[in-house]
Amino acid sequence: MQSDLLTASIVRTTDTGLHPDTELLARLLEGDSGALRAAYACYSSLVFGLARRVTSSASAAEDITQEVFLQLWERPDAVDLSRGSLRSYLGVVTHRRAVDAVRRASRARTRDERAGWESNTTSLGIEGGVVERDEQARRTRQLREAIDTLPADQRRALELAYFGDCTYREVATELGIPEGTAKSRLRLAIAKLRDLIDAPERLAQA
Amino acid sequence: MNPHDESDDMNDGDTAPPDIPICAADALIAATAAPAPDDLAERIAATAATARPAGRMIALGTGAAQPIDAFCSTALELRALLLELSDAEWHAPTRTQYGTVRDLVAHLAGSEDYCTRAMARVPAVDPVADFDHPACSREVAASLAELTNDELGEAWFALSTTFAEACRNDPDTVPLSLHQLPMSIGGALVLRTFELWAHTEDICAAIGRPLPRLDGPRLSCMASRLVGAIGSLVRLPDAPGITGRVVLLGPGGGVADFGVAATGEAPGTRIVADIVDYCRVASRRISAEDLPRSVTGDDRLVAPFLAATSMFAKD
Repeated sequence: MQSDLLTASIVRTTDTGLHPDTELLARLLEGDSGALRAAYACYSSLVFGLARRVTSSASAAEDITQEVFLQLWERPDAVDLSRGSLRSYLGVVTHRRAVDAVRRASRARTRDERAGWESNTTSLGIEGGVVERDEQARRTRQLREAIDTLPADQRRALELAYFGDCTYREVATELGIPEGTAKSRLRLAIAKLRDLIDAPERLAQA
Repeated sequence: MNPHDESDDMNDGDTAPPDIPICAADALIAATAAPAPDDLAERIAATAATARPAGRMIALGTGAAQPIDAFCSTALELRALLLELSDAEWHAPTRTQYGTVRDLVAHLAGSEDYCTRAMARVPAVDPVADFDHPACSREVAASLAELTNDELGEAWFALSTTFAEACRNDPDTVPLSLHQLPMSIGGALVLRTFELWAHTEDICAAIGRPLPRLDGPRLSCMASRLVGAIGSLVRLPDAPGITGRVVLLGPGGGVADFGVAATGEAPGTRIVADIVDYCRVASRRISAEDLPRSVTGDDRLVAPFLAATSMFAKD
């Protein structure tokens, strides 16, 4: 678009009273991937740093940074410059996602603790309880390792659905994808997890 | 999800930090900046290309409200505002030609009645007088003079409801004529939405309240219908092949090309503006000259485009 315009017979550029972020957002709306790179170059350290500060996790901060810039790429029309700069917008979106991540982690911890307490109170006896706790810990570790190997989009869908208590529809809304796509991602993720978890056991049995 | 539109109060207890107000976001992100891992940019670029391939524009009108919904939401917001007005506010002078807030609401009642008659295909008695928007509302407005303020507000709302119901009974594309301008029912509803929104702003300005901010789907409906209607009318007599692109920013925004072009020809003019400001040009609340904008390319197309933008305004 830019180069086409520069070949026009009368070329002028005039700016009257617009916000400095205007051109960047206009290019994002036009689908200019260079604008996404420019936005990343300007704001990635701010987004990543804030996400890491709130979540205390570099890995979670990477996921959040990816989500924030994808959201900017997919919905640049959501930025309302009459209410604040692009930098402020990214700050609010990052903070909100980071807070959500902290809440999900907190809920997951509570659930794990409750599950642990319930398993301790079953009538397996002391030895049975210890063996079961060890087995549960092993499987939990195995599950977490398997989840870490999933592609980012599947991992995010899985985390929302199973650790964030989200329905299919809520997962779809959160990720900005159709409900059918959310279901497919979750199905793929679960199938892959099953393979990853079962593979060592199948190997052991072979 | 637009964080600019959402409440800042999202703290649900001690388990998580509270959300930050937008005014604090700048300071917070500056204080916590840290370089992202080296390979993250490439990963994001790859995922972004899958989510939305490079070069795919976000077209103006994506996610637009239906015209009937845009009209009804705007009417409901104006009704809510009128229900809150004190007697003094009903008599506050407006910047319009009608006079006070009360006079303006009476004009709107007349406009709704005029549009409902147009829906019923009642022909204008005098086609020349039918061009005159204020005059067409005068008779009905005068007939409401004895009503109390609250009764007048409800009378306007009842007439707007009658118009909306009449529109619901016909498909969006059925042709009709308003002030001798041929248009579809959808176009008429968008025209009415522009007028209700503009006059709601007039009332807010008159009584010192903040101006209402339309939501994205409504702005998208209004701007995309407008650009669609005027797009093929905009051309330069001495350079008919030059076409333009308008990029409207903010919720409801998007990209639209205008002018008559040979297939595949790139636009020669690019205008970037805020979508609300652009709609204010359409309702003549901002003059074309005062529209904050960025223009790239052949700027000869800008004036005809903005002139066409306000050609449907009814005040």
